[in-house]
Amino acid sequence: MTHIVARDLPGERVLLLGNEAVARGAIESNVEIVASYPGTPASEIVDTLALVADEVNMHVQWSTNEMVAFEVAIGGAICGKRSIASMKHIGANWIVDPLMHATYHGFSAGLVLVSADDPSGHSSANEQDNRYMALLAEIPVLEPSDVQEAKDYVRLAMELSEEVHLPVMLRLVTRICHSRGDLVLGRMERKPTETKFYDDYYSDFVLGDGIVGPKVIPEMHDILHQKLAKVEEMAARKGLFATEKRSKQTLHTNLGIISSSAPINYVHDYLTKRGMKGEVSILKLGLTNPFPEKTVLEFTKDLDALMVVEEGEPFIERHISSVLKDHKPSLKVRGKITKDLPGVGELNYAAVDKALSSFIGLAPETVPSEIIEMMGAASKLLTPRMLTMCAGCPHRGAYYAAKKATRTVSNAKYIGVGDIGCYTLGMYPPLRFMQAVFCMGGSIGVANGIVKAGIKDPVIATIGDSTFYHAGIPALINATFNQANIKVMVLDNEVTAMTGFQPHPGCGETATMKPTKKVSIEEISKACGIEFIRIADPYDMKASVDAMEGALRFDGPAVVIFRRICSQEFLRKARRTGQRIVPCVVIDEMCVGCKTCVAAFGCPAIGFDKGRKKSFIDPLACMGCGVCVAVCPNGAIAERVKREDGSEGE
Amino acid sequence: MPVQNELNIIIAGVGGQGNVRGAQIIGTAAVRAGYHARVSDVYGIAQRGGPVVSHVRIGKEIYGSMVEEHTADIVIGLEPMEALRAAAKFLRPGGIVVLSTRPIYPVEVNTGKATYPALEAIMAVISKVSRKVVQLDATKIAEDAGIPIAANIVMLGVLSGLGILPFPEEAIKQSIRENIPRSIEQNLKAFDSGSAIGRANSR
Repeated sequence: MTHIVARDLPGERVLLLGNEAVARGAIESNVEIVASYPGTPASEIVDTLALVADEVNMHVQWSTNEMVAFEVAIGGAICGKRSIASMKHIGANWIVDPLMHATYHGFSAGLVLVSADDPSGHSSANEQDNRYMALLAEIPVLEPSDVQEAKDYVRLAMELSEEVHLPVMLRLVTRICHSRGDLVLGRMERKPTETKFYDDYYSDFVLGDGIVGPKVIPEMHDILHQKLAKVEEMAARKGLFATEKRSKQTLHTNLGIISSSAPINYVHDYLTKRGMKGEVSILKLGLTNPFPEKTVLEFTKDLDALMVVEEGEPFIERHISSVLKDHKPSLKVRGKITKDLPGVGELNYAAVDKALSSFIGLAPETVPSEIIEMMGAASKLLTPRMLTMCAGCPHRGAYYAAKKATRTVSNAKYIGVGDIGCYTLGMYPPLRFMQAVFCMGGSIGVANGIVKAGIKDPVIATIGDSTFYHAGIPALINATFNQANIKVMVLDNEVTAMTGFQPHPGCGETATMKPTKKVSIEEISKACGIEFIRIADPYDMKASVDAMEGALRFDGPAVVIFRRICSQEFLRKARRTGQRIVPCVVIDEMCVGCKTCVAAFGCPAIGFDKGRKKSFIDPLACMGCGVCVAVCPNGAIAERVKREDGSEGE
Repeated sequence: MPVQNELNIIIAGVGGQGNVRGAQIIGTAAVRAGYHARVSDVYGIAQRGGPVVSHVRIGKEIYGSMVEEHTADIVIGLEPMEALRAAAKFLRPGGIVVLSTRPIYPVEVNTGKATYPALEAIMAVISKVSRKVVQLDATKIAEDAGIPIAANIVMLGVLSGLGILPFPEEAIKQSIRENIPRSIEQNLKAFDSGSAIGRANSR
């Protein structure tokens, strides 16, 4: 059955994930081009659209990286097709260059950048408020506050983009992307548009005057400013500002709250729970850049005190303070800067309860004593669950082999640099392979510099397959160009695993499952000038150690590609095809209790029985990769084989 | 089975146990029954092995998608230690806990650096604040239904059988049919097994 996002059921109330709602918004508003690179929490937008792209006649792609995705969207918008590029907050760092160019161009159709912030970094390496990127680029920012708006604002963003001839950022946060909620579907307006190239940058400026440079650039910048000056009024007409004036006068002071995005829900829940609905005026900003000065000044006119509740940096709060300085300096603004709300991390109900209780003059909520007692007792029992690679993860075998190779070649000395992917988890115990981890592609680039800084031990960069295509190639060329003797481990599990198994250029399949040409990592490496290239199966310990030893001994930049399908992807396929998984087993008589398998290798399917002083393998967790068979120094682990009669044995 | 103002449910487990899907099934049924629903999944960067907590809110006037700490009416634990972790953070005094007894050991326990708490100790702590604890080996029951992976569906069955959801059992079964890609019959069988356990514990 067709996914609900592609069914034309206007008026139907359904439960959708925030990211699915954005996908639905794109379908309803006749978006024709969508490009993205996977990144949590934004991935499901294109995951969902890819499922229905053909049905709704939309071009949907996973691009090589976010910059290319945004450029693809520019290309679409410049040819009359409403276009979206979607990505996580850090992914958007890649698009700053094309974004700063795009603002001086005009398009013949809407161009929307969907940017998903991840407060608290649930699935990210940092916290970053991309409204500041929009401030830098001088583009409008729309902030939906729930799943309904996540859908509806796609259309509003498209319309605004077309009215003002600028890219528009739809700023999401994790709690919008990864929340499900009920929303009412609108009409699907799918109609192919005429393809028509139009770019006013070239037609009006460059070609018109025959020059770029100081004569026209400031003029174009001024046009950008003129465009921005119109946005607040356009946004007001679209209903992007919602004011609820207080309807009751119980409180002595006239209090106001300004909020945007997901946090407005904590405000509403708080006021409902505390019976304070209507006692406080509320302004919800659906547009936060350019800062809606008129709307905010109008709202604050009669207020005695103001609280700003927002996710990320104090973006609204800072703007309000600077506006009020000239217009109403007596009004005190409270929020993150005043430490009423935490300056870091995702907001939550408790933080908002504390801030608003203090603001309104109510007692903050207290935790019942029996709960506090129970939490104390629980904390004595609970142990954390450290991040770890899955059972059967091919990366574990690759890291284990590489460590072994350094022991024979360089007395176990090396510096390992990683970047972003499942393989980042190799930095944690027990493998502890990398000593530093940087951004996408950062492993190879930083390794270049470490070598040039004079480190004599081998410098090993670890990068994933999708990351290699995304950002690894220029740094690899640099290693040849500037002759940096780095060793690159490409951990190729044949899919973009961490974000949910999206295809990449090496998969031979597009986002919409169309066959395409595979781009080969080994051929790219060769073309980058690398003279030592080996491919090893990380399930084959001996071959993997040999390949890595060879790389370490080679005088010059070297690449070892550890190639084996992601164990989770393997299991998904096995479930579909009914293939049986045959787990490994510990032979009790041969296990001496040395703990190598648990303490040095660390597969989550292997446990150690303290009482019997023997390892054991959880048959439900083990997927039968057999790497531990080679890891065990005593030959105490065996792969079971399926006999012809259907029984199993060692 | 009316919800007074709102019903707050937490589903806790380990990545791969299917609590996200479970939460989606409850939310879909609630919306069909005419309620507002909010569901939120909190998980880390790993595909497997990390703690995952799904928040489900059902009601007539609800906004945020996260259950406030210490206000959950029900905590469903697909794994004992995660049940305890979630109960300590989210369960309200007098709430209900449904707990599957089969542990998934963290790497720290496998490597001998930490000790996995005894089930009795976990139960003792949870019982301090809960009104009722239903314990079962949901994986075993799912295996008996012919689909070992469906422990999450067994737990939904228990929840339904307890009679605390504001909609009929058929609504949640319909939601399972819509949200589960394959092996529908085995899943429904797993659900029925859970539901029987829930009914037996409903008083």
